Amino acid sequence: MAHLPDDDLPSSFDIVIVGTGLIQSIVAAAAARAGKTVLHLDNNSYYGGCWATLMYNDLQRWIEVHSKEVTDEDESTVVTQLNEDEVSVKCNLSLSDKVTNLIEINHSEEEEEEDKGENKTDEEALVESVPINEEPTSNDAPDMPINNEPIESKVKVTWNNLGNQKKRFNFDLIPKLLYCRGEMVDIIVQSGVSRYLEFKSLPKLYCSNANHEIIQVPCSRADVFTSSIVSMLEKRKLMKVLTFCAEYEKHETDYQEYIGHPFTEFLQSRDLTDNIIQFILHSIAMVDESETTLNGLKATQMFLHSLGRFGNAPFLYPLFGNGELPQGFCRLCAVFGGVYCLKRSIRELIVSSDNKQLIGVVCTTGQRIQCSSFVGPAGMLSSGSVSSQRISRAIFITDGQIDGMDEKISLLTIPPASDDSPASRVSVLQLDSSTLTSTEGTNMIHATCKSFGSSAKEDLEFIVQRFFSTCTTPSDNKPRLLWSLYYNLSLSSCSHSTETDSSRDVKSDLPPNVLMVSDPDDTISYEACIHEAKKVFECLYPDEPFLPRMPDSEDIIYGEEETASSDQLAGETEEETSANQKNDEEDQHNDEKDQEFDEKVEDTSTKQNPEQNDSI
Amino acid sequence: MHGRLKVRSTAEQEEARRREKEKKVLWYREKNESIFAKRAAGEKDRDTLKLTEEVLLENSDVGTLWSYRREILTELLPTCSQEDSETMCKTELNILERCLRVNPKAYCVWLHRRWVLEHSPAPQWAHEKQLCDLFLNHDERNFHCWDYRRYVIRKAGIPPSDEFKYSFDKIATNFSNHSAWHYRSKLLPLLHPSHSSSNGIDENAMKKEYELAQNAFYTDPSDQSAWFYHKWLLGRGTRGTMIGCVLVRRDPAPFIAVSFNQNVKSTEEEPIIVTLGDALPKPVTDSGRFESLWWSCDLVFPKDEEVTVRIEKGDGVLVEMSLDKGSNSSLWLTPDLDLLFSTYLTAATSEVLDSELVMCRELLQLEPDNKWCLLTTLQLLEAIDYDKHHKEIIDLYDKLVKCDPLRRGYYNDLRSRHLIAVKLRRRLEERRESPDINSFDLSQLNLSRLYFTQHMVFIEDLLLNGNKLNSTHSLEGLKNLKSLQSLSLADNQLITLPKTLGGLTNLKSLSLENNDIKELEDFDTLRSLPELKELNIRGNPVCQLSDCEPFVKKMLPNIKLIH
Repeated sequence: MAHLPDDDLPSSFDIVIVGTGLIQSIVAAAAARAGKTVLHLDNNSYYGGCWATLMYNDLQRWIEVHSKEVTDEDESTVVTQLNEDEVSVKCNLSLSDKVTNLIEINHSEEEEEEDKGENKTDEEALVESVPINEEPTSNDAPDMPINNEPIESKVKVTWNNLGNQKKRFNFDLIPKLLYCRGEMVDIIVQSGVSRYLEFKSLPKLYCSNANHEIIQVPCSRADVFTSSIVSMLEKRKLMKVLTFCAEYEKHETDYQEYIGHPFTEFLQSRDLTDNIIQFILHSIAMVDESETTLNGLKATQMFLHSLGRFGNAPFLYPLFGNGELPQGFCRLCAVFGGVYCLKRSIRELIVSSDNKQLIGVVCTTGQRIQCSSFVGPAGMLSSGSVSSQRISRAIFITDGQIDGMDEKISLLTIPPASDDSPASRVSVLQLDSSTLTSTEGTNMIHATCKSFGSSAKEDLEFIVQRFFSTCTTPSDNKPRLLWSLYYNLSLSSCSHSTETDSSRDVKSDLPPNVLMVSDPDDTISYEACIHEAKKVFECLYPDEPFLPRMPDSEDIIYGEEETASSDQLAGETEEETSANQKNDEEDQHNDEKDQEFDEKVEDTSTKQNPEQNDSI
Repeated sequence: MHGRLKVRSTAEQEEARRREKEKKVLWYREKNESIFAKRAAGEKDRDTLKLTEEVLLENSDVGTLWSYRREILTELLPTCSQEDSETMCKTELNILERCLRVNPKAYCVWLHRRWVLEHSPAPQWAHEKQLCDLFLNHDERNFHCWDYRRYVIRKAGIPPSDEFKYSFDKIATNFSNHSAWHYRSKLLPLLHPSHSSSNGIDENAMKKEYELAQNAFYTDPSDQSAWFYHKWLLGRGTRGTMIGCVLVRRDPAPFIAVSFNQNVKSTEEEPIIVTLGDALPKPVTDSGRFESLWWSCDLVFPKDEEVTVRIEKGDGVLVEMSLDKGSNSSLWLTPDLDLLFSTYLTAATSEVLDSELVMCRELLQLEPDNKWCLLTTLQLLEAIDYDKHHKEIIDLYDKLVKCDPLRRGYYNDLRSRHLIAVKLRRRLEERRESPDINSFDLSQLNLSRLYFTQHMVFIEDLLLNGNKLNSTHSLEGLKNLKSLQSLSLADNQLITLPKTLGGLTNLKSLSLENNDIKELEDFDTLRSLPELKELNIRGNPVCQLSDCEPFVKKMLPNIKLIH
């Protein structure tokens, strides 16, 4: 690849970070906030890596890239000039084997074929389809609507006739939720990243029972009070165990003997009905049956403490999708001077042969950059302790909500079944257009589980039969499936230690100033990710505070004997803070979203780094 | 350093804030001074409205300023055109809404809003209801807003069924909401009226409410709001007046005493009239007000003749009885002794009481230490049959004192009440069989207070020894014991002598043995007892005083002192 000379980046940074995944982005923001110079690169043309939320066109490109057979670029031909006392460590750039078994299905094609076939034999089929499809638009006016819409609404919504509206879909590669009382909320509020984000709360949780019926899980006090699916006696027992879990530390003697045992055993010891054990295990704690009692209690406690912070909901979902979070942290990093460059990565690390310390990196452009620390994604280097896990994903677009999930934004957990699908717990996240991830009249439904079969389609196809109406299994009270996408992701995780170098050496042969970070985990929350980001930052800068509170805008002093460049920065900050001052805390009720957000991120980074050019 | 923010130090921040605050205080004082000067001068113009508005937007909780605005508006509104006065009211409501957003719990702001709407030419009730919705969404327990809501709903003519649903929605979000439960109690009789039931509410509707309360108990038994509502559902002792006993006596001083089950008041519409033959004796307590004992003395009975006494209330004769010419006294006792002592949970039918008892007992199995459940179970048992469940009730009281020691005084009083009811009922039954019975033993019961003494008006010999009576308050009931000749208060915790002892004019023997009386002056009360012959003060700290015996002997020369 040929590169223009003015494509070059500044030649020295305190830290170079590769990959704009959430953990890297948080570390980048924290480092910039601590006054470090940060170069943040990403090989992709979008932010977020595995954590990204892709728009339709980006998703198409993503599908295309990951459907191809992996072809190794001939990297051996690239030669970097090294000094005598330097050693080069090659980086693995092709990470495309992470995504496998990609299958995209456009259900409108099936339907059209069927419609054609039916038209020939039975013309009434088309006539019948009209009243059914009229339903969503005619809920308050039984008469024909007067405006011009009916012509459009009579047309059956299909993936094909969505046309340009497809651009308004935002696809989470890995959907996640924020615990209202979780560390993620605290960090984004404290750091000021919340100013770039808006949220919707997720007030209701559903669970699928043995008969495949969807029931609302009574999890808050108000839910238990109004619930009609549990008996009086169960209400009391459920409340009792939840109250216990909410402050389990205070009653150590009550759970001590179960600490190392599975959480299920502990729950069984509390004289609970199976019904309630299922609720707590799968929908509230959301842990596996084998999870230990202590972890189960912690998870339950986190859930319970989250209730009541922003209404009765335990979770928040970011408008425009989860990809907004890494972008928010990147933006914070850029505000504090971080330099961003997409479609660029590094191909080599340069390590001093004397003390085995990293002294620089070589970009994919061949530019050599001096730096004193490096953070990259797990798997980028052949060394380092990395473990991997495979998850199955499905994204469905339907023309309505799942029957029984009345709340527009809600989470359904399908517990593992011994004799039936699925073999591991499946989380089903239903999103409507108010989250700005789907269009008006359609729903985006994400299904995620640990892989148990040979492919994502095999693992998750049962959801289609159970909840959707398709050509092969039409049903009146189920939403019609318009489009679906299946894929497996293999996610790497690395273990970190905040201990001193001695313990690091045991498990890692990396230079001490090179750190790897994990991909997303298979949980629904961000807790592990925040934890890891903190640890990485602590390893890098043990004496610096982690994303300290943003000062109030009126307490910031501007322009006194500053250089031109920092004047520019100060001006930027003023603009940021004053514009967002009214959003002291994230306001999950505000439906409107700054549409120009993406452009803003780009703006910010280009302002900070005029040399940047990511349009190759 | 690059990328570092320059931030004011805390000292600088504080200094800046202090200066800001000082400026504000100065401004506030100046404005207030000029407003009060204007008010003193009687100025009532639009400028003053503007001025008060500025101050109120800063601090809405000043009733005087709102009141001044009302004065101004009262003056201005009648002189304005229809359109102009509408605008003025609209402006006023706007200001009020802004104030409420800052301080949603200001009494005077809600009050002023009501006043403005009363004086507004075209009040927008629908908008007011929306305002209530908004504020109750923000804080579902804002009782100011609940109160205002009831007013708005009444004015807007919104059907109670809508509001009943609304109250449910609020309870469903958070049932720790006294206001919402209370609202239901106001709406139920409107929505489900019934003439047959004792509280005017349809039985089926009540059943649903019992279920709702039960859901709340099982979800969170320690939340008091649902228990309060439950108690309201069961009814809280609004019963008809009934007479317990009537005592007519010739000697030594003729008197009539009538005991009632509760405090009664003789009103003009419903006077209580006691006739003695043809005479109308006046009660000793003046002005028609008396508590549970009507008592009249200094009467003149026709000598050796039959005396008839009739008691009427309103237009009905409650009791008619006579005292034969040969006998000294006559006691009439109510045939419904069962009803005499019940006070709680009187609205519910016995089936409801039974089913609620079953529910409470089940819950008690799961929550053996829950005080609300204990108390409700106990009160249900008392309402069903306090005599039959006597033992269980006492056990429950003991448990309550242990579970909730902070309220042990309250529980001990309730327990005393129950014990006395049980004992007294038996005594009255015995007395009905044998008219010689004039003594009553309430000793060794750990009583903390006396109850139902009005029905003991015929008792001559009362044993209260070995209890926990300790204050004047706990012995207030003694004043009703008009026939008492012998009283034992031995082994109690009395520190002083209750003043009520001075009214027991027939008292001959009094034992205060083993109490905690310290002051000699206390015995002064006993000088008004002409019949007192024997006084036992042994085992009191007062006996240690060197001048104890001579002092008491001098004060009460005719008695036999045991010390």
